[in-house]
Amino acid sequence: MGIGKDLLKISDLKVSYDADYAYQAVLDGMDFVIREGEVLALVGASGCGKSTAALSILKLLNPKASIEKGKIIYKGKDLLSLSLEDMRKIRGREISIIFQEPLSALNPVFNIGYQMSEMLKLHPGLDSNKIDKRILELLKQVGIPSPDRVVGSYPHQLSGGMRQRVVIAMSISLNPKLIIADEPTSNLDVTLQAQILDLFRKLKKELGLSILLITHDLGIVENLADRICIMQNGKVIEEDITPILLRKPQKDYTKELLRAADY
Amino acid sequence: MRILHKKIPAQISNGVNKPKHRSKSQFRVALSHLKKSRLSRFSIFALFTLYTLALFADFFVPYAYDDEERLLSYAAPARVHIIDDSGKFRGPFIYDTIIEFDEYRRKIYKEDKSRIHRIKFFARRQRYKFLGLFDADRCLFGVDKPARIYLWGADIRGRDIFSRIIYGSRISSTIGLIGVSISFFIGLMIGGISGFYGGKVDNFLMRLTEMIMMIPGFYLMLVLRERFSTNLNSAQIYLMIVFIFAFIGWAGLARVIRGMSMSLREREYVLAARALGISNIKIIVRHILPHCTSYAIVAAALSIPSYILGEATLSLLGLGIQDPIPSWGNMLSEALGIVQIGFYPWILLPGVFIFIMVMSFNLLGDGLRDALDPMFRS
Repeated sequence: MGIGKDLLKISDLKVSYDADYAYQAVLDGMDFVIREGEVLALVGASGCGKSTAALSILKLLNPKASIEKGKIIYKGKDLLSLSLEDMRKIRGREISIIFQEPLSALNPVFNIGYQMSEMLKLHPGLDSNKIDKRILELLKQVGIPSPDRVVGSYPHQLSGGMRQRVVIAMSISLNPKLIIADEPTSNLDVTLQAQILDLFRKLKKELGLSILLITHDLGIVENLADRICIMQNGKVIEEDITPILLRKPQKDYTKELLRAADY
Repeated sequence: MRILHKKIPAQISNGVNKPKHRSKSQFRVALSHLKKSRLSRFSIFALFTLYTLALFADFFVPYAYDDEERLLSYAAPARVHIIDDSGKFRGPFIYDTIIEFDEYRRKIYKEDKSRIHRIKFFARRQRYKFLGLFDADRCLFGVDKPARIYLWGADIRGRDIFSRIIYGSRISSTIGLIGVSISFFIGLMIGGISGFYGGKVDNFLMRLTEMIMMIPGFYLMLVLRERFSTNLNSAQIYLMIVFIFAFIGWAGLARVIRGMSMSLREREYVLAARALGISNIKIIVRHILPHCTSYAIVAAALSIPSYILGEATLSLLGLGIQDPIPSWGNMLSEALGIVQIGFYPWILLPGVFIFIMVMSFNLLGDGLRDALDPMFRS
């Protein structure tokens, strides 16, 4: 439920991909708002622009995509007008992102401890001792049972759930205000999904995070989200708080979507 | 305490501490494959020997590289005897050489059997600085003055070819390694940047690379040599050669690395690293280039021979290392005439060493490629 002030506001965002044969708008006049401390779910069919929206917030779009118009206001600043250097300071420190495939999000040639320390070195005023301590603390916070063992292991030595926890630990390591979770559980089995969702809930409470949850799994949404935005063809077509939207959808597309998912 | 480097404790989930099977690191797996190949073992042994000789050259040789005795010009390789004319065992020794001329003024080598010169081990020689650190005057073997031992013969000025080959190995053994490390540093950086940034940067850097690759290497080498002053001391000449090779050598690698970097930048962990606010240059160095290591190692081992041959060529033509400093290339420049080769074939010996070193690096490179590439492992 709308708890605090607006944290991130996207208005009239239009993003196009320059494909070889056609120039196609993927996002076309997209609007939504995330408030402080809330979980907003972005729900839609594959290819409706959910991930593009996530990537354009951090300006990590493929070079073939271009943002044609619109505004992304974060804490009163328009992210689209920031320089690359300023944008780099937003990434990780203010807004971080969790990708859906936790194995490929970790570099296979370095161990977990190294990859996490690389992040934490961006934080001024942390010497190597403090960094080591902080890494263990973070791993414990995301529910890894034996952090000192995980620190020295390589991504391929960990299970899927462990990897996703490590990725989550990395994403919260610089105390961001907003986490974008791009289908964070779609590659995990059901018990792990439940555990990861619990983890999100816990982190949200402990750290006061806002989470932008991108998914097509309505079960997760019902569990976690405060509000839902339904997307179709690059636009948000319906938006409401979770219980209302799931019970009384207004638009035909939403009804269809819910029916398809057995709601 | 740095936990990052701490060993993973042996632990098994049921709580019983049993020694866990340690998995082999990539490096160890590759090493064990390398050891299995006979050719690689041979090349490692040959290179190890050559590098040991180069490092302790002062100790292994009986004479300094510029120690000449013109009366013994083109002396033939010494024949080491154990038993003297009367059939008595005397330990290893040599006779003095007498050089006479026949009616065509060709040299005839005779042994002066009136006196024997024992070969002494740990004999005295001219004073030198061992490893450049402390004074020494002992060498592995030698004979008492005024006799001279020419194990592999002498050159036109009566300098010991054995000593000069050992000293010369210092040039060939280091120039490849230093040249490769410099040109690979440049190649990796340019390739990494070019592939990662793409677009205009890529276009500019790749056109530059192609320009270097377009010019035939040997002529580029000659032109670059011409650009340098003619009166350089030996250290400067050495540096100049390294510079020339580094300047020519990076292009081929840069092009391959650029391709790899282009495909690696699409990996999700690179996107993840960017999303976490890590700077571009750090992403290139820490997340892209490490994945090119196995290719780079193989390419390096396989391109060292071209540096060694390049130096030998320049020196052979009199454009590289200058006499009296020996290098295998400039020693061979004495062997350019049929007369010299015909009558004094031992001056071709540096060529044998060039062959051994180049072949060893090639075999090592092949072995490394097989060891590092899982597809080749049998």
